[in-house]
Amino acid sequence: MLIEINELRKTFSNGTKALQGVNFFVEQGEFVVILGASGSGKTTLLRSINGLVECESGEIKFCDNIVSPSTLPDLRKQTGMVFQDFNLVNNLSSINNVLTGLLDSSNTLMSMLYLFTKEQKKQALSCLEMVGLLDKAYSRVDQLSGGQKQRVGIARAIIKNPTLLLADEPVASLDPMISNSIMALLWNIRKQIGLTVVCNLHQVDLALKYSDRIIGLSGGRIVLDAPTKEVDEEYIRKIYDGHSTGLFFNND
Amino acid sequence: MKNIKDNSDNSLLLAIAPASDNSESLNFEKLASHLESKIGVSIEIKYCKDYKEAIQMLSSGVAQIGWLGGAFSNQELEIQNSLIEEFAVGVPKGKSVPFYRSQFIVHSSSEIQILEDIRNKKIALGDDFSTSGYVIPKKELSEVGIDIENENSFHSIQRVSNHDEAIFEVINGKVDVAPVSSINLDLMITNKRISNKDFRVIHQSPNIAGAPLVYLCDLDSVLKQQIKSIVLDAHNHIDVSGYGGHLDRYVDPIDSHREYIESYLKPQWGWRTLLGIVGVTLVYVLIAIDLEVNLSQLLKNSYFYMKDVLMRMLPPDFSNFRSLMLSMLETVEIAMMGTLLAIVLSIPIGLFSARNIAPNYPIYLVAKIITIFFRAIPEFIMAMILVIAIGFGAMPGIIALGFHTMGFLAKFYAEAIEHVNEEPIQALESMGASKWQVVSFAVVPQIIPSFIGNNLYILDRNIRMATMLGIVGAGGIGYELQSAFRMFEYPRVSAIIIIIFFTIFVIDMASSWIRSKVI
Repeated sequence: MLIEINELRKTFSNGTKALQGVNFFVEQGEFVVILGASGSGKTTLLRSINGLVECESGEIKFCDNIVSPSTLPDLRKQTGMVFQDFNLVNNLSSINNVLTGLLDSSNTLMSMLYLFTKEQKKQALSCLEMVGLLDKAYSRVDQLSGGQKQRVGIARAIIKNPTLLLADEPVASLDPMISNSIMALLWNIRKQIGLTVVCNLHQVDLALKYSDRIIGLSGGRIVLDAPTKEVDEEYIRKIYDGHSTGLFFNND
Repeated sequence: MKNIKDNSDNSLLLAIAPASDNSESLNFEKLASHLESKIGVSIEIKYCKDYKEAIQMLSSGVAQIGWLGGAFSNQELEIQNSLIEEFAVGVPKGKSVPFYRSQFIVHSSSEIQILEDIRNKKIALGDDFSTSGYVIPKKELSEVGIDIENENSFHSIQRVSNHDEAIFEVINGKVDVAPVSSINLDLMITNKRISNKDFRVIHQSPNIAGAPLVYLCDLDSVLKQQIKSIVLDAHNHIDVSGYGGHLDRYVDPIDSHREYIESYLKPQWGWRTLLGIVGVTLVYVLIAIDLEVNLSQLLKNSYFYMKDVLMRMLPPDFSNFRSLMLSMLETVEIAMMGTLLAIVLSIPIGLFSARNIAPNYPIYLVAKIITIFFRAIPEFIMAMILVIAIGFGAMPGIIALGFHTMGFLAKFYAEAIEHVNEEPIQALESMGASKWQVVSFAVVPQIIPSFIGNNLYILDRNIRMATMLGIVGAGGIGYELQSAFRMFEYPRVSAIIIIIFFTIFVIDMASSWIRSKVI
């Protein structure tokens, strides 16, 4: 078991109950999609896994070790994260953005002068090749399109060879066509380098196409946890509190 | 694994998948017979009807060597990596690397400029398994939001059986655009079948690795080594051929991939940056030489004099504290009046010198010239002139500060106004708001934070400057400072400096507090 989450609860200072006792697990090598409407707590849940959000009760186990402030640095070394708004440094080139993924294992002084070893740079170039952006290695990322920026984001997340990739709404700022190609890229990379992926989504069609298992979140509680091939419209309705989802299914 | 093969019969089978790109140029006979003569076993070639058959022959152990076509490098089709291993990839004639690209070509007279333009045009595509004629183009087009599988994306889709056909369709104007392999395109130019004036490349894909030759992983390792070295050395003995017709040579895919990645290595600091750093350093060294800046000399000698001056200034003399504080108050008052004057003057001038608000160009230009003019004259000089014109006292100080900082404030406001978010302005205009209504509802709310911040900064700055204005006779504590210096009353000088320091400290704290509350 790679991740095990027990009775996780989180209430924000403004009184919002983001998580109300969440339990689930993720096996090594799985591609799990957390599906839910905005405000269902999926971002909080994802961010609690790598300690970006601190929960008041419940426990998270990573590789059978309880995550605590002392084990967090180690967990983060093994985790890559992909963000909704890419979170790239816009004035830097693609390759330098990807190299930021190696900062935790680099010499502080040298890396502050943007100096990296030849091996590290080759690693960055290989990651850019994997996401199909080798030709843009030296372009500034603010000159790239949205889909290309997210590809750089993915290359940055995978450069340190993580065990776990957390993707927080990776395609929410992209159009449907490009969303599909980014999800396909994550799906292929997962297979290629043997990653475990936990991905937040709100697009039902993408979740059904690219996941092994779907976890549905509604009002801070898990309302669905099933292998993707067993998920049908009835299940999805639960996540969206009975609202019709016919629209989502027309896509396929 | 079930593929236990027996090599005792001394024969090898080479399974070849069909090349969808251009089938007539698959030619492995020469290579096979060269291999046969070198290792002394008979090699049979089997041209399979599809990719599936070829992989089946390898996985069942019937074939030991194979060429799986372009599909091998597409992750769309899964291959057990533990089963086969790639050992050689062909470098096309005239190239140095085993890579090619998928290029979108249009007729040279076509108006299509970028990939997005090909929507609703006539396109020629290869079959679904063609790497550079379909699979890669599909990926490239999805990047710009065009779905290749949706026939409504194009005026018409024509399927072609090979790249040469696609190229001719474009050149003859039968279709508007086609994605083709750079290998075929280059070959046709070299053979003078087409000219590069006939077409234009509007887009090219990233490099695509050529399809490799593979063998079974659990083949005898000596045999594997033998096969590999013979194939990689073949170009020294025979005219090598394979996928794409005649080849230059075969190379190790892993080596060539590493070299390919390395070809993208660049130093982190380009020569321009380094040249810039060296240049700026040189300029400063020259300036230091010209100004006779000598740090060691300075430290050695000045220490003594500084110590002497400081000793004379201590202890500070606060005997006329009351009158000093009154002068300080006068200074603060001058600064506040000057700032008010600056704000009042700079609001209209700032508005008129913002390009997007100014009613017309002449007004903009006049406003701009006024701001530059007053910024250019230091308040010190302005105050000196005013003292001569209207006499000693607070007025020259107020006017000098007011007009000089008006120049700054107007510039700040104009810049803030020019950089406001246009979206709410468009929304208000679309609903029929007049220009000045737009200013008060969409521009002013956006610039209020920077308005307050800049005013506080100017007030802060004016208090510091006002302390100095007294020196030229424009009132306030500067006058006291000046006279104390003239009388060599150094203890009083230090007292005044301490008062100025505390006043500015308090005002600084207060303005930070106000800033944090309002902005």
